[in-house]
Amino acid sequence: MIPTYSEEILSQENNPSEHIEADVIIVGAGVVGGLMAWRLSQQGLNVAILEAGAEVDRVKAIERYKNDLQKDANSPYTMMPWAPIPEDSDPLSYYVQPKLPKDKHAPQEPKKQVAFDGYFMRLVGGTSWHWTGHAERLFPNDFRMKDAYGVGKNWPIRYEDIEPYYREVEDAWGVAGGPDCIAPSPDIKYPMPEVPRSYSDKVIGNEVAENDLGPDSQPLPHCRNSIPRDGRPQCCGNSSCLPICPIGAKYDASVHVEKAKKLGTRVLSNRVAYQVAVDHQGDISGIYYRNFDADPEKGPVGLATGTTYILAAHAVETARLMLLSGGRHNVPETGLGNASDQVGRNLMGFANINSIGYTPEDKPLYPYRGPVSATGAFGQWRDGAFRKDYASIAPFILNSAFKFGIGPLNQAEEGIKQGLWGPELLNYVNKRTAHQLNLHSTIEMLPIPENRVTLPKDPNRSDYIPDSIGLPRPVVNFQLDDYTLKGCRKAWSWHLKVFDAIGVKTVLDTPMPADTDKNWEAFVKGEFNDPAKPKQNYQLSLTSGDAVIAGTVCMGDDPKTAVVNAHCQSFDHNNLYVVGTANYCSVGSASPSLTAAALGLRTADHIAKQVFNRETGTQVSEIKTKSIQGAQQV
Amino acid sequence: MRTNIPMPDNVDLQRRTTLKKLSVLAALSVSPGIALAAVRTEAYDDDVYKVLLKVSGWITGFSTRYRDLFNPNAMLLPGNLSYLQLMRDITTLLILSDRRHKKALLRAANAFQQTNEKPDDDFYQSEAHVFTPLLRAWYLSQVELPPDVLTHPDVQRICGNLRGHTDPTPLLNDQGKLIGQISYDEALTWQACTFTKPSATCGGPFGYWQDPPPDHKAKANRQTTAIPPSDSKQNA
Repeated sequence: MIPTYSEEILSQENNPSEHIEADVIIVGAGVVGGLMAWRLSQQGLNVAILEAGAEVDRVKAIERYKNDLQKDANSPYTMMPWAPIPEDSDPLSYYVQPKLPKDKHAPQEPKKQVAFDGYFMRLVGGTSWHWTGHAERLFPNDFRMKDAYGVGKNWPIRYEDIEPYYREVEDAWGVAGGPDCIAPSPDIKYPMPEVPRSYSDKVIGNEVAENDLGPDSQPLPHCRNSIPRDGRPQCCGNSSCLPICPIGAKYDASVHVEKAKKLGTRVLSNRVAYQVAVDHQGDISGIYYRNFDADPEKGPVGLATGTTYILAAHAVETARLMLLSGGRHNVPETGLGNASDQVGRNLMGFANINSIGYTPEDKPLYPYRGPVSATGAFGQWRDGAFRKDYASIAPFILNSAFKFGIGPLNQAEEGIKQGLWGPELLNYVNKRTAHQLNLHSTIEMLPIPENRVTLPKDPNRSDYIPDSIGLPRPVVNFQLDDYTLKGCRKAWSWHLKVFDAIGVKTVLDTPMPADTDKNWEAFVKGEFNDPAKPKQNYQLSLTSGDAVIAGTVCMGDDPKTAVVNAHCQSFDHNNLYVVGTANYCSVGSASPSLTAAALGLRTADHIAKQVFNRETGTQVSEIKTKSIQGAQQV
Repeated sequence: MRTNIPMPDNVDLQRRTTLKKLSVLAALSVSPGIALAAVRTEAYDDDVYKVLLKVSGWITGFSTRYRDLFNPNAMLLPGNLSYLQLMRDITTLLILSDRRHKKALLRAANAFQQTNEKPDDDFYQSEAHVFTPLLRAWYLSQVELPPDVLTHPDVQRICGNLRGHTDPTPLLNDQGKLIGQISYDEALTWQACTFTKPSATCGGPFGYWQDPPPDHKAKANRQTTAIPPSDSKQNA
C-alpha cells in the first residue's frame, strides 16, 4: 500500500476523490460513536461516521471462530490490512514499547516497565464485538478519588451528573440486573431481570463465605438479554460471548450503529482518518482520510467536513490521530488540542492477577457453561477507605476456566500426551475439565502522566515503526506504581487463601506456592509462568492492560491540565469533541464501557443543544460547509 | 438539517471479497477434473472403515460408555455426517500425515477382529504409533500434517481451517507441521465432557448454568474413578 506521507498521497489533499459532508462527523463506529450517532440522528442532525475497519458479518465470523485453532479474542474477525491492531498472541505486533527488555524471558519488573496488553479492534461495532458484556457503573468515589482518598485525580463531573445517563444507557443497551448485583446502589432499576450466577460462582462464593474470607459472590449487571428484548433473543449460554455471541443476545455496538443508520447516519467503513485540519479561527475544518473502500491498494484521499467533529476511536487510536495531526493543516506541532501536553498521557489499564488450578475431587465446578467471561464477582474491594492505601480490586471466577473455546480440548491433549487412552482417558478429560478453576482479579491503576502513548515524528528514530499505510505505530510507556502493586499483592494473597481453603492444586498437581515475600517476588518476576522452568510453571501470572484502555485524553476543569472539559469538548477547538474511555480520570476496577457510553450520550445532548442554540432564528439546514470542486459527494 | 446528500454505496470490502470467493468456488465446481467432490479418495473398503470405527470406540473409551456412538449404523450426526464418514476423513488425513499409517490401520483392523473385538493392552501398545494420532483425531478433531499436503484436494475438502490457503509457512506449528481441523463441533472431547458442549453452540434454556449438570447428583453418589496423577499410564 502507498505510504500516507508520500507525495502521491499528500498531493491528493488538494483535490480529494471523495467528500463527505454532514453536520456531525464522527471518527469511530464503536460503542460510543455508534450510540452518539443514534442520539444525534434522533435529534435531526445529519451524521456521518468514518470507520477504519470493515463491517462484520456475524455468520461468517462464527465460521472463522470455529475454524480457528487458537480461539483467541480476535479469532472471529478479519482485520483490514490498513487498520492494524495489537494481535492476541503478540501486542507488540502493533505497540512499540522500547523500554521492555529485548529478552522475553527476562524477569518482569513492572515498576520499570510492564508489557501493555491492551487489546482493541477496528471494525464497525468496534471492540464491543468481543467484550465481556458486563455493564457496570463506576462508584461515586471513583469520580472524586483525590477528595475521597487523596490519590489520583477528581473528574470534572460527579456521579450525580452522569447518573441519568447511566439509566438511559442501561435502557438503550438492555442491562440485566437486580438488587444483589455489584453496583453503587441496590436501588438501581434495571430493565431486565438479573443473569444468574454460575454454579462455580456459587460453590466458590460459598467456600469464601464459610471460611471467613469475605462475602459470597454476587451477580453482575450484564448487557445480555435475560429475556427477549429490543428484537434480540434471550441468552442461551452459548459460552462464546468472548469473543462473539452467535445469536446477538449480548449487546454489541452494531445494534446502535444499525439504529443510527435507519435514522439516516451514514457509516463509511474502510476509511482511515489520518489528519485533522484546523482553520485560522482555531476550529476544525475537516478530517482527511484514506479511502480503502474505493481502492484497497491505493487508498485515495477523502475529506470529511462538518460543523462539529467527534473523535471516538478508542483511547489509543484517538490519541494517535490527535498526535498524528500535529504540524500540518494549522495544527500545532505538539498535536491537535494538545496545548496542555496531556494528549496520550495518563494511559490506564488494569493490572491482572491470573490464578488457575484444579479443585479437589469432591468439588467439581463444571465450567464452560453459560456466559464465559464471568457471571458473578466478589465485591468487597470495589470501594472503601482502603483505597487511601491500595488500589480497588475486582476478583471473579471465569467460566471460561483455563481457556475459552479450547480448554477442554487442551485437557484432552494433555491426557493423550500422558499416554492415557480408553475409559481412563475419557474419565480424565471429563473430570479434569470439570475441576478447572480460574480465579482472576483486575486491579485499578491511577492516572500517571509518564504512562503514555507517543508518536515519534522523525522516521530515523529507532522507535519510528510505520504501520501498513506508513503511519507511525504508537509508542507506549507503561509501568505499575506501588499503589497498584499493593492492590496486586492483596489480590494474590487472597487468591492463595481461597485456594488453600478449598484445597486447589496447581496445574502440575502440586500444592500452591505459599504466600511469602519470596514467592511474591518470584510471581511478579514471572517465574511461576515460565515454560523454561517446567517444575514451577504453574501458570500463575501478573499481567497488565487487558480489556481496559483509558485516560489518554483526560477530562478536567483546567485547560492547563486537561484536554477536554466536562462535556468532552476540546479546550483548544470549540467544535471538537473527544469521547470514550480516553476521557477517564480514574478507572476503578470495573468494566469501563457503560461509563464511556453514558458520557457519550451526555456529550451528544450537549452538542445538540449547542447546535440548536447557535441556530436559533435560522434554519439549521442552511448551514454551509466547504464544498470542494471535483470531489465525489457522498 | 441538510438531508439532500445522496447516500453512499456502502458495499463493504468483506462482502465484496466473499462474493469474489464464491464466484471462484462456483467456477471450480463446474470445471471437469478439479471439482472438489470428485477428488475424494478412499483407502479401504467400507467394511474396513466399520472395523476401524469399532477400534476407535475401543481406544477412545467410548464403546463402553456410549455403545451406540461408534456403532457404524446407529448414529447420525448433524449435517448428515455419520461417524463412519468422520472415520473415512480421519483415515484419509492420517494416511496423508504418514503413508505408513495405511498399513498400520489395516493391520490394526485385522488384529482387532482376530481378538473377537476384545483386545488387550498389548494390542494398543503394539500400534500406539498410529493410535496416538488417531486419539488426537477423535478427541481434538485435529490431525498433524506435513506442509506439502496443504493444497491436497482432500485436505482442502476436509479441513475448514486450511481451506483456501496455499502458503503453509504462516500456518506451521513449532514442529514445522500443519494442524488440520476436521470439525471443531464434532471433537469427542465435547461428548466426554458431559456437562458442556462446543462453544458458540446453544447450551439450553436461559440460566441453565446456575445449576450443576443433571448427572451431577448421580455422579456424586456413584463411586467414581479417581483423577489419575499426572504421570499415570493406562493399565489394561
